[in-house]
Amino acid sequence: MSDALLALESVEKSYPAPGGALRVLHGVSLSVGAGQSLAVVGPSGSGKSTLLGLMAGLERPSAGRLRWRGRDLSPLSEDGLASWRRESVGFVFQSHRLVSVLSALENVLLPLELAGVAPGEARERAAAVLSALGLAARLDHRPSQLSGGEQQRVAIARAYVHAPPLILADEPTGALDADTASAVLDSLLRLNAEKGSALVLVTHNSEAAGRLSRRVTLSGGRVA
Amino acid sequence: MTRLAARLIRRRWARLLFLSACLAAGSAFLAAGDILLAALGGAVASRARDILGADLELSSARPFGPAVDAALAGLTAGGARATSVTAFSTMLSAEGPAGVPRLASVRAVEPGYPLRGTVDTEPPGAIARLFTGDACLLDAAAARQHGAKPGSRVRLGALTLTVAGVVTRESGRTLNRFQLAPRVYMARALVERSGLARFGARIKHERLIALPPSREPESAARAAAAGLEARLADPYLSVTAFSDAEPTTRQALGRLTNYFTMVSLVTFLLGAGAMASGLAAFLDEELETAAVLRCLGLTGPQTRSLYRTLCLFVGLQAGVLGALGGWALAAAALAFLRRGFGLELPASAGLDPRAAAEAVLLAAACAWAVSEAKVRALAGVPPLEVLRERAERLPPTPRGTAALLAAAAAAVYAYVLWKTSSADTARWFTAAVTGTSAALTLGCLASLRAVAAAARRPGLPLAVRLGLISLARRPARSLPFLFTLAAGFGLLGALDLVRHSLAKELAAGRAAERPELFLVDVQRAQLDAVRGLARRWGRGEPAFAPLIRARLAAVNGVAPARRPVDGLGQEGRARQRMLLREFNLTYADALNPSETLRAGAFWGPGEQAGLASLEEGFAKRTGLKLGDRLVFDVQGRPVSAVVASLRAVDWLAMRPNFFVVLPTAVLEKAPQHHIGSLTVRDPVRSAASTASEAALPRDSARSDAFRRALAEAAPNVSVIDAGEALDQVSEVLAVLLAALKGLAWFCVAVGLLVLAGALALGSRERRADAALLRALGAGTRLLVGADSTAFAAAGLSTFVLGAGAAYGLGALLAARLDVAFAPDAPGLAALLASALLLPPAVGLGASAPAYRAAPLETLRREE
Repeated sequence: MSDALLALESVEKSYPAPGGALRVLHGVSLSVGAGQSLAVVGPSGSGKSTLLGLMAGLERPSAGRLRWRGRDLSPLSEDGLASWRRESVGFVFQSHRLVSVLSALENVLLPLELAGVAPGEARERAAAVLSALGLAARLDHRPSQLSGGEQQRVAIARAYVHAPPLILADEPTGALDADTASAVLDSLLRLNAEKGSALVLVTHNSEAAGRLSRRVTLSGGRVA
Repeated sequence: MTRLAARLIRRRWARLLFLSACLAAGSAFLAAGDILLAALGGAVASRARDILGADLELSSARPFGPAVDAALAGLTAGGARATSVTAFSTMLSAEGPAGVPRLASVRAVEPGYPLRGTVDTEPPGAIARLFTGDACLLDAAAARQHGAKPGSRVRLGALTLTVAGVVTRESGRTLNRFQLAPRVYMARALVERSGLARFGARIKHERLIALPPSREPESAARAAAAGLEARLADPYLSVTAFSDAEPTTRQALGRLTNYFTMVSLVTFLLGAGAMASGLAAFLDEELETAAVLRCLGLTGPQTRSLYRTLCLFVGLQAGVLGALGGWALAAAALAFLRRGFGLELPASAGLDPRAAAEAVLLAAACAWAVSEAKVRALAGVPPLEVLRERAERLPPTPRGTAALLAAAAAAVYAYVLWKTSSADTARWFTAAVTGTSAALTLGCLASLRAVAAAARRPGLPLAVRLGLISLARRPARSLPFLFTLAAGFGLLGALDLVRHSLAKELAAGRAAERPELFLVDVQRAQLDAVRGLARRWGRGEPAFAPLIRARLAAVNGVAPARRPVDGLGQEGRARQRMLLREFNLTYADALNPSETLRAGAFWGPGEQAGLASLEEGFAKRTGLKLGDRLVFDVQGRPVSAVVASLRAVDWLAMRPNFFVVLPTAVLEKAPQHHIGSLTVRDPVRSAASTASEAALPRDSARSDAFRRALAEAAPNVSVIDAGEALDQVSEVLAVLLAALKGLAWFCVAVGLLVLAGALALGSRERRADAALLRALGAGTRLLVGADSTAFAAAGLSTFVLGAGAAYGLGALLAARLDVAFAPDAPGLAALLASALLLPPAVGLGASAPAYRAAPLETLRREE
């Protein structure tokens, strides 16, 4: 466990609901090591996305702990978690989640700018990642001017551009047609292999899950 | 369909209410203006008989001849009552050496006066004592001025009168607060003995008539007036039915209507623009719902009908809110006018059904007009395009927008014409609105480009760059609030600049070197003596000019005709009034220092030809131009003159000036008297004064001494204090401008409402962006920093654009009001400082929920 990049220890998550608290996760424990790839699968409502949100520090567990390289994340404030995320996590959402008023390049620049990377270097790195994903000609296009697959590849570039040790991807191909989804997944795995980040991929797609080194199945909020 | 529309309205009620609120403010002002002005107009109409003291008035500057007596005998034989009044202005003073003569407006009456209304006095019934000895009644202002009370004695011309009472209330008179001279009543039988009724004195002879009871007194009075006019056919005689009385008050009401209609209309138009952009955003968001409904079987026309119903609902709701708001505003304004100014007005304003219906119809028509193109576009988008996310926004509707703008300009013109009956005002206002809108739109676009360019500058902190980008790259959202705020602040600034310009002009009129006393009715034989006194007590050389009374008998061979005023627009009425009234002519062979030649040529000394020089504003209002042949009836003798030049006159130079000037040789022999002006006050005398001047009393004491000496030497000469007149003008203008500025603040409030609305409409996107940035590691400081930058940039743009609009509009308004535009940059900057502060305050306040939203929850909702 001590080699783990991110470890979840007996994590629980409940939400208030009209009939009493709704428990979504029940004592989940798992860990991701550096460079590992982990698929999280399970039926709808099993708690996959909630688990990913907890791993990203976007939500706090109702009980249990998260440790990052052995350090407990619970004492961190919201801004402290944001700062940790900035340095350590890349996120790919089901829908691309690009800022509509920014161009492809500007969207990818965001994590680097947040991290305080010098503008020239940031631009170079962002353009390089976008080029690696076949988007060299689309740098100045706004999200509305890109296809769904292109938008998702921009989102992948944004997740990887600052070389975070952990990439969290929440069904990144869920909103795409089969051919596009396959191409996007190829891009994601190729880039992940090149960068050596740990990857946690939430997916319904068993074929996609099969391409990752580990698989965790969630059922009813528990690791099956 | 109705049920579906009702359900959608229930689900979207908050959004629709906000859209209605944008328009409701302007709608409320328009309705309030209608209700208030109807109440004021009604008060004038209902008290018109009391104001006139009769049903009918015959008046003339000449004594009435036997034809009038004969005509009136016919009326009295039919049951009418008649009485005579002699009215004139003169100097009144308390008896004794300490009494200071001051201008008073005398009404010399007969027993039975007034035929309509009442004159209440303290002690009660004192009016009857006027006819039992040398007595008079003073109004409260005159009593205060002279420290008089019942039993005091006052001097009026050659008379010494005992004050029988103080007038506490005259029916209808409290409607008009503007009065230069306090009123004095005395018996008509005393006029002759006063020695004031000599030739050339400005005396108004009146015959008042009370008609027998009638079911329709207004039409009976008009019919009787028309009959008398036709029978007497005397151009020197004026016949007024009570329903047409108080032309000055009616004219002032007309002007008020113009100002309030225009400022209210600006608020309405800004609200309409805000509602238009809000409805466009709303219909954009309805694209998916409409597509689903189409998939479920709704036809294109049904979709149109559904969303048209929603938009009409927004308009109707705005109209109802506006009518109710207008009612409340009008009631508050009436209460303010009653309490603050002591005007006799109705205790409360009724909810005028016509004004309410007008507000509702106007708002509904506006909502329909601004949304129709978008509604059609919404119904025309193929649903599958939307469901496949190929169409996320409504297509642009350039034709619809162009048609809408053209229709809006035409509608504005028609509305202003309808409300003000002035084609000139309607043209001017429409041009000003369209010109300002076009300039502001270009200004807003340029401002957004500048912000975009600033965002590209290297080395900017990320928060600043993100803030600038979010403002510049969302023009559909930024433009409406920038435009509305800039227009609101521009209007506010423009009114303040006009106020400043007016104040500066009025101050110039009171400047030390300007004459402050006017002398009226100086007879030819008195001229040398009065000039000597003016030189003795005044500073510098007093200015005197001859005044000859005349009527305009013909213009290019055609006699000016009196037409029913109902069929005339505002300009037509003003033109008729100016052409038919008695003219004050003068003669001179050179321009005086306050005159500037604008067109044509002014004659030289010794000119014998019949020429005339007109003041350019007078020429514009009457439609007279160079080359026109005029014939004046000067005390029964025709005098012809061709318009040879147009002059600009600096009226605030405070010297005798005239609309019409003729050569000396042409008018020199006409019956005439003189008017003059002089400076008495001496704020800078210490260094410059001579030894003899230093022996004189200063300022008001010196002015009082001059008045006493003048009253002694020429008791018929009236002294008008220009400073007092300017003070009264300043007071009225200050109230008017404060009210208009109050309305302009509402324009600013509409702008802030639009800003808050734009933020509310885009709140989903803003929350999603904030959540995303948080997911990427941004802290609250960055989010707040970005928004602060965006709103500060919006504030700065508003400030710059508002200041530009204020200067442009201010200059236009000043030109329209014939006021020299006096820019006041520091004052304007101080006023518009709120433009820098309000957008960030409102913007950050409205954005706060986005900072507090849980990012994962937000992002999930967006999936």
